Formats: sequence, structure tokens, C-alpha cells
Amino acid sequence: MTARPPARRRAARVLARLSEHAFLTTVALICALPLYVMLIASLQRARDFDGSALLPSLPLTLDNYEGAWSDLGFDRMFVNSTVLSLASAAIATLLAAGAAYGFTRFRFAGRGVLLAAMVGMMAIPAIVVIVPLFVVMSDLGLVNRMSSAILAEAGLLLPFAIFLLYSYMRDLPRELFEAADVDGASRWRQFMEIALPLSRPALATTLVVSAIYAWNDLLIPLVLWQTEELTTLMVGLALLGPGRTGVQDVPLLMAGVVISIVPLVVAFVIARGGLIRGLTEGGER
Amino acid sequence: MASVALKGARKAFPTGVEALAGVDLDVRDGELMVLVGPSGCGKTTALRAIAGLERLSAGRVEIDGADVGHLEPAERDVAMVFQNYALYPNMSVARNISFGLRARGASREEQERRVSDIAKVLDIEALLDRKPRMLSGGQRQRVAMGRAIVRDPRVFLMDEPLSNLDARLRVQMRGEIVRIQRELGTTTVYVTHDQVEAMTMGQRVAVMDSGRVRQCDTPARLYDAPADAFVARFMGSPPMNLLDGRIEAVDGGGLAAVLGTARLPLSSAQAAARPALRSYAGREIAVGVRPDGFEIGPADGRGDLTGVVYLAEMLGSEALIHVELEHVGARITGRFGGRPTAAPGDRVSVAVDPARLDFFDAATGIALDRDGRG
Repeated sequence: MTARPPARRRAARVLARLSEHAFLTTVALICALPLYVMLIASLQRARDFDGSALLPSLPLTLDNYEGAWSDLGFDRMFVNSTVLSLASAAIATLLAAGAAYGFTRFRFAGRGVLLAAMVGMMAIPAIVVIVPLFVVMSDLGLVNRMSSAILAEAGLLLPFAIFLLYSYMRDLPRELFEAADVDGASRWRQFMEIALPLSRPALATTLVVSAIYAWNDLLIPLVLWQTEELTTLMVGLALLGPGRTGVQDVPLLMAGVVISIVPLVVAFVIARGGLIRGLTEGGER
Repeated sequence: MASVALKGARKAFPTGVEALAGVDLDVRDGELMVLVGPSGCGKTTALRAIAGLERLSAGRVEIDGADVGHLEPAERDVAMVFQNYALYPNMSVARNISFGLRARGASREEQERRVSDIAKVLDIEALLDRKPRMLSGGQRQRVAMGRAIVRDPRVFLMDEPLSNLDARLRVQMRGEIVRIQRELGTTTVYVTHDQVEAMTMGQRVAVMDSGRVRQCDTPARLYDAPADAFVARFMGSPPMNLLDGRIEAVDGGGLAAVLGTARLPLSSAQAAARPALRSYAGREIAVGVRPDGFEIGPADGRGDLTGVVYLAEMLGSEALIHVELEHVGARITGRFGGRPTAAPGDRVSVAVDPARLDFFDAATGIALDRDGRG
């Protein structure tokens, strides 16, 4: 067999790279298109808006943002969404850290069953439990109180959070805990001084992923927070249909959507490195 | 300080593997005892059982004569150095060393004083604020030692602490550990798979195989009077050559070892020193020859055996020559001072000194001269 001349080989390599890039660019553009449409729509006046145009019609305006933020009460909704997502994610992450540590470091009867049940719970959609959840919250007198949706959301996030942290903590070197055992450290001290600090990437990942989930959730706050003061962005957006204003103001709706995704993008950009590390590290070490 | 003992120690894992199959071991107060053996021989399990990290299936662990089998690791007052050091990566060197003191409620002043004292002993004062990832292998090893020493425990347990270091550093740290152990006089159980480490460090060495202690003795006795063929092969580098042979009675009541066509007469003193040997007259036997127990010369020389050199290795101050023996059907490795005197392909004679022979039962591998000549 004769080798191909170097020039031809190089050309083939360049061609392969080019087609690779062309494919990836096309996929990226397709993914970005809805975002682009949303963004230009949010910058147009309602009367100028043409749903089929790919280029914005001038003049551009920020009025929709102002309208959504002040007139429609997105400022308050923004605060509610932030409180709900951060508080429920923090509670879920904290409890999950303790549970994951318990699953990795304690040997007790029924541990395997509990672990399997916990993984199984990840498959239960919130819609299945929403009615009993509402009844319980109602009996406790918590409906329309801040704590109800936060606790419910944290509870629903918990199985996933435990699973993620368990996968990570299981792979922490066993010798570290054995050394601590020999050194006379209590399990609590081992948790606080070894397991938690070493799980920082996984904790950050769990916190961010949980917060994003809670931020995007519609069902729980819709059912448990039924007052205007406790409306979240997602609920607000859902209610921003023609039913409320009589006509569908698409640019206004799009401005609301942009407002609602900005914190997610910021969170993702900040946590990007740790997020990927945390999601992949557990299985690989 | 304390004595440590394993009595009839057995450990079977749920997988069915029996890591310890009845180990009896007595470590004297202040002694440095080395457990040595191949991978999977149970040496680390024995160490972990002493630490309390493994519960025995049967038998006892005693420290200072008291059964500690039911005690948690923390309650046994032992300190352990792990193979990979197990330093807490999130803590500074100082906090790593003082971790055990903190866990036991020592005051801040005492922690600082002890850490500073230990840092001086181990020459790591400049490293106290660093994180483990900023340290070299040797420095991490010292920190791990510091963490063990700082609590002034009754027993040190060391699980292959030098195996991650390069050869030069290993030799240096070997000496350091022995020096520190002698200075502190703390009873130490040291696990290694490296027989050189075992020979150079241990006051006594327990050679383990398949979950049992084959022999526990001083390094010199292990080398000179191995209890069985396993110990003979394991201790010494290159290992002892074991050849299939036979014992024969000769005229005048003497004995001779027969290797292939060679007949090596044993002196009456030698025969008397090995009373068991006479009963083997006429039987197959395993004959052991240390690499420095024979000489090679020209093919027409005075040697008892002949063979062909298939490998000659120059090690600097000495040479290893590997010979394929004729008539015996075995290979033999010799160690000689200076440069190799033969090249691959050379036909040579091999002169064995009968006084340097060891004899083992061909079936069981048990040594036949257990009264020893060491």
C-alpha cells in the first residue's frame, strides 16, 4: 500500500475539520434562533411586531422591559422567584449532603433499599403528588405562606440532590475517613471538616442545578402560592396571556421571558467550570 | 508504648476471600516489626485489624495484653500511616498534623507547641502553611509521619508508606523512619512487599503468605535459616535458587546431595547439623543455593555442574549471571563481585559449596535444617 502524499492528507484533514465546524455551527444557529427571535421581539413596539420577520423593524425600544418590570409587577415576581429558588435549593443541598454522607459512611440495615427508593423517587413527577401535597399544606395552614412552596420544592429536589452528592462522596478516598477514624475524629467532625469541604464542586453543582429547577418550576408556586404578593416569574409569565390583557402582547411577553432567563444565564456562566466538573467527576475517579 | 499481639486471627470477607487464615504474631514493646509478603498475602489486613479498621472473623487482637477487638480505632490509641498518606487535601500541613489533637480536644496552645516540635523533628517547619498538593512525595510522607507521631500513640502502624517514592528517596526515608522509631521507642508494625525494606528496617520480620505467617524472625535468621522454600525464595535478591535433587547415603555413613550428574558430598559435621536429612536418603528433595553460594569458571574447570550462560547483567559493583544448567534441567542465578566474567552463550562450569546448601522437603517445602546455622 502506498501512502498518500502529505499535501493530499493535509487537504483531507482540513476538509474534515471544515465539515465538522459547518455541522456544529448549523446546530448552534438552530439552537440560538429562538433566543434571537425572542430578543428582537422584546425590543419592538407591539404595533411594529411581525412574527415572521427575522430582522427587527426599527425603532427598537426598551419600553417592554420597563412595562413588564414595573407595570406587570415583575420586580416583585423576580424577588419571589429568587427567594423560592435559592431557599429551596439551599435546603435541599444541605439535607442531601447529610443524607449522602450517611449513605456513604454508615452501614445499616435497609441501606440498599433506602438508596433504591430514593433513586426511584426521582422518577415521580411533581404533578402526581401535587394534590396530597396541597392537602397537607392546607391542613398545616401553610398555603399562601412563603414556607409552603419552599419546603415542597426542597422536598421534590431532594432525591436528585442526594443522588448527585452520593455519587460524588462515594468516590472520596476511603483512607481519608479511615485516617480520621484512627485519629479519633467523630463522624460529625469528619462530615464537617473532610466530607463537606472536599465535596465543594458537587455541592456547587447541586445548588445551581436545584436553583435552576426551582426557578423554572410553575406547578408548585402556582398551587401553593395563590396570592398576588407571592407570584413568581414563571407563574406571572403563564398568566401573561390574552386572558389577562385581552390581546396577546408578544413583545411584552418576550421581554418578560428575557428577564426570567437572565439570572439563569448568569448562574450558569459563573458556575460553568464547577458544574461540568461536578457532574462528571463522581463517575470517573 | 505497648506490646501488640494477634492470636489465631482469621478474617474472611463476604466475597469468600480468606485474608487471614490463623495468624499468630507477637510484637514486643518498642520493637519495629515488619510484615512482608506478596500482594494478597494478608499483611495489610493484619495491620488494619490491629488498627480496628477491620473486624476479625475469629481470634484476638491484643494491645498490652488486653483484648481490643471490640474497641473502635480511636479507642485503641494507635496511629497509622497510609500507603497514599491520606492527607486531608483541604487542610494545611499544620492542620493536617494537628487534626488528631483537635479531635481529642487538645488546647490550641498544646496543638501549636506539639506541631512545632514535630515539624522540627521532621524538618518540615517551612511547609506548615502549605496544602498537601503543594508538597513533593517525600514531604507528604514526612507530614503523614508527623500526623502519626504528634499524638504520641502507643503503637505506630505503617502500611507501605514508602511505596510511592522514587528509589533514592525510599532509601533515605527508610533510614529516617528507623531513626525516628528508635528515638521514640514506639512499638511499630510496618507493612511492605519489599523484602529489602523488610531486611533493612525490621528488628524482626514476619514473612506472610496466603493469610499465614510463614516465619517470624530476625532478618539474619530469615536469610540464613529460612523455615521453608517460600521464605527462602522471598527473602534475598535475587532469590535463592531451588533445584530438584536427591539425597544419597555414601560409603562410611556420610551423605551426598545429588544434582543432575553431580554428587556433592556433605561433611560429617554438616550431616550432623541436619539430623532430618538422613531420613531423606534416597528421596527427592529441593536443594537451595543462594546466588552467592557458588562460583562459575571455564567449562573444563573444577565445577560440579556445567551449563550455558543465557544472560549476564552488569549492576556496577557486581554482576548477575544466569546459567541454564545441563543435566539438572533448571536455571540458576549467581551474584559475583566486579564485572561479568562470562557472556551469553559461554559454556561454564558451576562449583557449588556444599556448606552453603539448604534443603527442603520436595512436597511441603519445609526446611530440613531448622536447627539453623545462622
